[in-house]
Amino acid sequence: MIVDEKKYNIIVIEDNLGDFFLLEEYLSEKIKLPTIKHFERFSEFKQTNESLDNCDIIFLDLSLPDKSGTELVEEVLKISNKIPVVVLTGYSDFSFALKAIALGASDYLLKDEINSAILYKSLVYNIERFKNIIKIKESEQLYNDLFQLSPQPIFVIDSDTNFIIDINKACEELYGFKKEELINEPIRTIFNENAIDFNNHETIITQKHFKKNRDSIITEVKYNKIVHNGKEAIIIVSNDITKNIEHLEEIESQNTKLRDIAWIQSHVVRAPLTNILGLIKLINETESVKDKELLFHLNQSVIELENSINEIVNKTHNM
Amino acid sequence: MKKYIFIIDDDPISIIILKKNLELIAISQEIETFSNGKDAFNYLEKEYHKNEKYVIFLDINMPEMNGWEFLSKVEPFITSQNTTIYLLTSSINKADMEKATQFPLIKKYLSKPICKEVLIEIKEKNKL
Repeated sequence: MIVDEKKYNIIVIEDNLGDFFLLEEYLSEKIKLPTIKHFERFSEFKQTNESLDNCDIIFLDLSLPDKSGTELVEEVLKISNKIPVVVLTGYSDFSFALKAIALGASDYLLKDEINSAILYKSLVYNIERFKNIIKIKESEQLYNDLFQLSPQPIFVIDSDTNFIIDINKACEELYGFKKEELINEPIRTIFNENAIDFNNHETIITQKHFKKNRDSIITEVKYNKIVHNGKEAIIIVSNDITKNIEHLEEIESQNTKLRDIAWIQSHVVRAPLTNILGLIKLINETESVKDKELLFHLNQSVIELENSINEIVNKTHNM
Repeated sequence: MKKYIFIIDDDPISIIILKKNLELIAISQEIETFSNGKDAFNYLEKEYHKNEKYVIFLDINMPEMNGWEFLSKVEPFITSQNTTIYLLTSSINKADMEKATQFPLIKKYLSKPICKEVLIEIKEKNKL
């Protein structure tokens, strides 16, 4: 007879000592050194301070003096979390054994049918299967997180009706809607979908979208087909570029102002300045320092220059 | 053949400076002044003759009709055979200098203030 030499940590919650010893006996037949922790009451199990992390499997009797039935299964499953729970029951409770599975128990064993082979098979099978279930759950969680926690707002809409099926947190934040307010609402609430080809998966499209407060934003969106709960759906990834556009417009307006200033510098400021230079040259060449007319014009030009400089300073200040 | 000298500029001080400089280098021809492109265009449209000679000092920035607009308006009926236009402006803007090259009527782009040496050269070239 082959004996399993792996280390197993097993919890047995069973108030009937006779049944417990039998179970212990069967386990020892197939496993070299099983570590078995025994609780006679649900309250004992609940209050145990020891970590369940190392535990491989729980065998649970369905009728304990302090708790039984649905309530017992639910409470134990809450605590066991990532450990498979196998329920033990008699013939009379067979129908409830099935209910326990529906609630999330991994397997059931009829006490009257248990022998070492059946018990060992159930133990190994449920431990291994549960590892896979946890992996699937973790990957489901991961994909859910990728959607929910994506920094990019995402809508999922029904490809037949264009009604919203799901949105993520970033979407709630950007559009100001609560998830409940948008589910089963038409995507028209956000943007006008007439003349939009949702089959176009290649192009990034610029769209005008509306928030809950009816403020409009400019977004770049991309569509893709997905299967959501077995139905064909469209995923819409939205990227708010309103600020970028505003920023661009601001820069363009500043550039225009800068060009204006360059023009003023060149024409308005330089005009009196060139006059001053021209007048000084004339005064030098004709040696007519006392020429009242030239001096008068010189004075005029200096005042004009000052005014143009003030104008530039004001324009630059307003930028 | 009569020779005309035109100054088209809205800035009276600038006109005075140019006139005094032309006096200094002893230019004897009569000088006509216009304070914008439109007045000069109206005059030329009526009085322009192919067998007379024109030397025009043209400013860019003017009210009513600026230097560029004036050039576009006169281009159809004025030839560089008998007309020499000097763009005389306070602008040192590159865009203005580049634009000037698009007009074959413009002989030279002159930045203010004008100096006597340049005027002497113009006088000799145009036999004023």
